[in-house]
Amino acid sequence: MSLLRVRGLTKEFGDLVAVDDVDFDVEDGEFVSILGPSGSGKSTVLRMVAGFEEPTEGEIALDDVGIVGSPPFERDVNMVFQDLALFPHLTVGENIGYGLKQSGVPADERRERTERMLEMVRLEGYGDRTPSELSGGEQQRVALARALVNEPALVLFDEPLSSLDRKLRQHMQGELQRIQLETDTTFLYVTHDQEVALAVSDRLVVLDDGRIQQVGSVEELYEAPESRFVADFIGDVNAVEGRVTGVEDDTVVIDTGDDEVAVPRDRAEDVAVDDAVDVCVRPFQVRVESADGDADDPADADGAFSTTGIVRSRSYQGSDSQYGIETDRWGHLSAEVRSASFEVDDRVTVAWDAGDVHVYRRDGVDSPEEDGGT
Amino acid sequence: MGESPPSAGESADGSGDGLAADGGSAPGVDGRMSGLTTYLRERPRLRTLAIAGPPYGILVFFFAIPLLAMLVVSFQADQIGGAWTLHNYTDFLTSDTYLTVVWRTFLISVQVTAIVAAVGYALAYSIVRFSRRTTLLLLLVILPFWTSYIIRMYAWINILQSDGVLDSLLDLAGLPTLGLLYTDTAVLIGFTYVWLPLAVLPFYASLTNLDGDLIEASKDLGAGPIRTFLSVTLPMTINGVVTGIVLVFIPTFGSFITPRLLGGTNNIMIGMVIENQFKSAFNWPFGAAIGMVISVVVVALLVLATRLGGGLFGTGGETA
Amino acid sequence: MSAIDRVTDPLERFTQAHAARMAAAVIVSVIAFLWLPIGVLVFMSFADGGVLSFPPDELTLRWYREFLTNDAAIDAIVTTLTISIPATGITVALSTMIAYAIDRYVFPGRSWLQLLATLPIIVPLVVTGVAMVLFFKGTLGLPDYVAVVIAHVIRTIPFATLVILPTFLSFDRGLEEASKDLGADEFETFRQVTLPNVFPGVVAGGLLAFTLSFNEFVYTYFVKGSGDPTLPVYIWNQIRYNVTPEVNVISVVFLAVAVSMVLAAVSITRVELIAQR
Repeated sequence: MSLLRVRGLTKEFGDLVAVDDVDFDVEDGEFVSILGPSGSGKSTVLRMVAGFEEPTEGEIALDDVGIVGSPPFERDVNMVFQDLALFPHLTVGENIGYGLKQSGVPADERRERTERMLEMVRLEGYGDRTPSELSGGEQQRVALARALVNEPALVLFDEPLSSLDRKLRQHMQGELQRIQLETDTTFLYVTHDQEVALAVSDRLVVLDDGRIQQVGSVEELYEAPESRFVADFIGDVNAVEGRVTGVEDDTVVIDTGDDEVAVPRDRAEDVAVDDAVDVCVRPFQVRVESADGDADDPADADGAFSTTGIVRSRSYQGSDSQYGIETDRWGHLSAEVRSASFEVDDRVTVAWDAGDVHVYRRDGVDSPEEDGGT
Repeated sequence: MGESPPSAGESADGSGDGLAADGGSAPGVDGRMSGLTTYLRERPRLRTLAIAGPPYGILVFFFAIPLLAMLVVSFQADQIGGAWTLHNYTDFLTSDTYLTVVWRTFLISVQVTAIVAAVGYALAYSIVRFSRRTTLLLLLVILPFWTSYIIRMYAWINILQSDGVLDSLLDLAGLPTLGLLYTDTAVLIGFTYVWLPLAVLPFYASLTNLDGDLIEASKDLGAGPIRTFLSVTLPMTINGVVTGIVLVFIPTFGSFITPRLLGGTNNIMIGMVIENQFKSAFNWPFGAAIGMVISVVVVALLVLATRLGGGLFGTGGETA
Repeated sequence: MSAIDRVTDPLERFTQAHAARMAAAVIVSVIAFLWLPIGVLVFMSFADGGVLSFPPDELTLRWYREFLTNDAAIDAIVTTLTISIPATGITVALSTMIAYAIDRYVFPGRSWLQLLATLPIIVPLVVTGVAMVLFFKGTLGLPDYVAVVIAHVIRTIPFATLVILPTFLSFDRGLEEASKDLGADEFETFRQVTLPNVFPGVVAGGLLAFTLSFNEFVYTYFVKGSGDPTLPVYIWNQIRYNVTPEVNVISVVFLAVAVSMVLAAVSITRVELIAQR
């Protein structure tokens, strides 16, 4: 039995379908993120779980009890708001104790639990200050403590970390994970930032245009994205246009211009002959080698994609270097390379294995990064 | 507000001449203006004086000084320039009749303020939190405020008098008529009607500035709408509430038109006593003394309001 | 742990469930309360029998014809305009100067200027009215006309400033710097950049000042001697001593002036400006 069960959830605002038939579950003790670009409907899903919006259709069950229709103040969920929504007219301690006061917890116990919570988020002694006296990171902790102190079944997060700078954000991600473990609470986290989502979550729900694109663990989504959208959204990806020329038992043959490459069947599942497709590969799986002279078709090992090109840009990223390469065949590609070192304007060969790609049918909608590669 | 930049010092001249010169300005005008501009640029104090001085002078001379003159006259006997005396005050403060009138005026003002604050706040809250057409609704609320005060009272005479609109309708419906005109109820209705739009404005402004997430956060933490209102919404908008209360209480306390037109002969308020001194009794110093009594009440209320945090004078200069 | 474990008051639940309906009821009933009396006035101005007969037997334009041939009422309108128009001009100039000074300069007494420009709203009209008649007539011996115009200026300055000041405060002064950077001197900058940007606020302030002055009663009633009443004073005299249906017609005139002026002011600025106090 899942802690949170969402089935057929739909929300329409007039003609706009903000959330379209969404199903997912959150298990007890999990850290699940809903990831999607802005306008994907992820915040609306969260607000329906919290009780601020009523679904047009569908059901939401918490601990197997339907909660649609019950007002937010009766739901056993608490939310950390995007702008934190700390009460400016109350002290930090009063903010944290607010929920306990509403449920009639006596003053003594309230004080004690508030103190414990302050300790948990490492803000001992801050109880008498006002929220405006705290730094951004400290305010985040207060908002978290205010939600957790009520010991809700589920804590909701509406992108609370988006206002922090990168370093503080990374620190708070670690804190979130620590606190989740210590309190043994279930977290449902909404964000548009794939870096945050990948760092903290057990599982991800990827949402686009109100519809679920894929649900799975971080590894599944990264290594086996089910669509071009997910591949693009979770990490960087290179896409090469092609056409399916043959489908066999264990391979799919794809023509990417000059030659044909056989791709394992499990890397190109939903395609048929004559389909226009995108062949996607992660930058770190792209090999870059020095090209001698003007060899036109080098490194043409069987079962590999390859072309030649010129290095156009280079940026260091710690131990890796990221190269932007203008290829002769497929336009601009990026590659992350650890060992070798190239300069801008070097002529190189670029290749990757057929077993590392994912092939998706082109629907003509999800190709934001197309830049005219032939 | 930082230091004044080396900027345009020609508001006084510019606003007028700029208008006139707009479209087909003679080069001579510009030449003269730029000479003046240069002259003033080098004399920032003179520039400030040229712009702030005239309105300052007019407000002091024609508003502040008359109020001081009233204080002086209130200590004179019978007429302006009469012998110095405390009689105006002792007569007033030892008269049961006048003290009763002050108390009556106070009670009516409190009732009016309470009704207007409750209704006005409910209206502002409903508009801000539950309506999408806020601009239109706000316009519908404030427009009546801009019609003549006397006309608005006259409308209620039409409605409330015996055989007026209200009684005629009640009669048609077979109900007993009320004949409300010249009663306390009529006075309360009249005041509520004129001050409601005025009070809605500060309520509306403070509610608009309230972050809706705070209300959601409160409900999320288990407080129902009523407790959320008492523990978040009301404390967060208390400045607007205090401002609205002051804006209603003070003019009600000094009013004479509404009780004169809608109230009966026994519905005397302190403003009517003043009017009487100037329009029929012709004892100006005594009228001035009563004016001072009202002023003391008003100042006391303002001090109280400032303690409670009403932002009365913050018309924006400091907040920019 | 059960999903719904917070027990609340039934009243809270009821309020939550019916809040939107209650809000709609409040909005409709209060706005009806504000507009019905005005509707009654307009309706009664067409009523045959005059004031004391509701519902009227017949609708007629008779009272409008009588109003147009009533010299006293027309004179009152003319008197009002000869006061309101100059008073509005003076107020707009003074309020613009106040707004400019408060927005641009730091000077001793700046906050006092702001206070002085707000106080006439707060001091009860009857108190200021008394103070003015004592000082203008008793001390200075000003002629009626001058005294009344000054009284109207004092009455309208706070409202005009309230509308004009925010347009100055919200004006992006970077635009002026850009203008000077492009070679315009201060005067040219004011004329070509500042003025067009603050102009709507200034005009709106003027329209509201005119409306207020056209309606002004209390100061005028105290300061002005007998003879040549303004329109509000004329109505006051009418309804205190003898009620005539003609007053209904004059009410419609007031209403038309107020509605057209305020709508014009709102359409050139934003309604929020008038709401910001």
